[in-house]
Amino acid sequence: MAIEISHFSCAYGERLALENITLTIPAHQVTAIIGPSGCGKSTLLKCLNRLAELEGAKPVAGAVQILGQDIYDRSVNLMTLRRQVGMVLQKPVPFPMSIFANVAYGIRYLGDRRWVGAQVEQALQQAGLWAEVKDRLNDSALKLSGGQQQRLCIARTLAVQPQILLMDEPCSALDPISTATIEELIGKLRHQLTIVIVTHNLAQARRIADRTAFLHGDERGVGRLIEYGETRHLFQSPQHALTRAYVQGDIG
Amino acid sequence: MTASSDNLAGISKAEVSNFLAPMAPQRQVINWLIKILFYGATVLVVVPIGWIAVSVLLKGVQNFQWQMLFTLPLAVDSTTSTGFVHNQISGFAHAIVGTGLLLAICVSISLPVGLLTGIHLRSAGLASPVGLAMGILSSTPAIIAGLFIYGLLVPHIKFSALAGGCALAILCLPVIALTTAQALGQVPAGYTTASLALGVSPTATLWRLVLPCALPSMVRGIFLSLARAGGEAAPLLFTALSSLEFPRGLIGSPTPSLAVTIYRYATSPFRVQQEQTWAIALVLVLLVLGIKGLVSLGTGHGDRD
Repeated sequence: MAIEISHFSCAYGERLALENITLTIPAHQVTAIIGPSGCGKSTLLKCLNRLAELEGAKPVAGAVQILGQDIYDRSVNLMTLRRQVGMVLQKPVPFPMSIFANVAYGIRYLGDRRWVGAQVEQALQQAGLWAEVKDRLNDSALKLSGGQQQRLCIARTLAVQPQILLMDEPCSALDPISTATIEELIGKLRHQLTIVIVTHNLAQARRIADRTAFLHGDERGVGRLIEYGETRHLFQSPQHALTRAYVQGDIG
Repeated sequence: MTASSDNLAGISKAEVSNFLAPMAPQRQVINWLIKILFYGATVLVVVPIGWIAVSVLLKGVQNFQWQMLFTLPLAVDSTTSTGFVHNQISGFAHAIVGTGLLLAICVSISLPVGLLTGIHLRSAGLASPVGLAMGILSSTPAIIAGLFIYGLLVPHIKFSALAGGCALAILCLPVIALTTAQALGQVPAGYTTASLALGVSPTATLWRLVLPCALPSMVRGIFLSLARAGGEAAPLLFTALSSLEFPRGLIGSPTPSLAVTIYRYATSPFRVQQEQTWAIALVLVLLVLGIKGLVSLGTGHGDRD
């Protein structure tokens, strides 16, 4: 198992955001986290690379194990953890430098500094962007289209060779064609990586995810895991009334 | 339905204004008054600036000779045609070199301290004690900065370039710190998040990503503060003092500057020195404008990204 979340709760100050989440995510699969806005799905994702604590979310109970290691252990090196557990953010965030420098940014800091060029090419190939940008690697990354920028961000993350890729609604700012390209890319990347993707697009979860987790906030706004299983089962024969209502579009 | 012909989608004709009707007379009067007020205010602002610029330029050029840039001041001798001994041209090269030296000392003190203070302010905020201190310091009168150094350093290192540079550095420090904090604050937070998510440490994120992004606005702040410091006379009057020769070192000897030389010549009893004041003023204005122009040229490109 790539990720094991057990009885995990986390809170922003006094306000509980997630309660008693238990979730086991297998390696080399795509796992989608769905649920209405504010149910804590993004927070859960950001707890997996401990980016959530930058926004003030602190774990209050339970444990998260990634690749067999407790990531909330005191001795955890956050830099090493985040390198292993890469993340693609909701809005594409290309740095204001050249396409090449964007992908090389992480390599130059963390990786093997020899063969930077080869590593950049490989990452861009993996992200399916190489053919489009190979002749203009020195152009500003800000000139790329939104979809290309998001694939550049994926390439930048892949360049430091993570084991796990977290994606926080990676297509929500993109048009349908760019979305299709990214979904196709996710389908290819699943062979090398474990992917966890947060999405509010149910059809997308259905198309790309092997397994799906449904989170829902209770009346106090505390996110709970309602149902988790194979995507097909979750959508076709949901066990829980809330899940059924959500996948049928009865509740937002 | 007789009312329907008078109704346009429920609005009675009486309520619809005629768009083509001229403005009411009293509104026309108010309109004119306000226009006069605005143009008047514009003239009030532009005239003094234009006046200063034109008079400095005209009188400066009248009294300027290029040899002045390379020669030292001479004793006044009213019997010669130049007004100075041996009928030679008296210059102010010492003051140009002195101002350069003072600015160099100023920047080498205020830049590192201001940069680090700015980085601190980005996370601490402008309402923090340090932020408030910088706010107060930036509104401190220049002469107080000079007085402070006069009391603190001058007894030990005499009137000197270092003392003058320190006084100028006090003026530049808050400007550099505040513009650095502001420039860093303008770098989108998403950059930091994306960099940390890659496993890059917070320190490396600051030095490799955030600082380079903020550099153009930071450079602008640094140069603008230098341009201001270069024109200050008050803090130099009792720190660097003034002299008639090239600076002799960092400590122990008075150091000339353009600003203080202007003050001394303008209040001089000799007409030749009073006239030369305009030439020095011209050089100082060109120097300050030059720095500002350099900045807008250098950073104009960075603004578009």
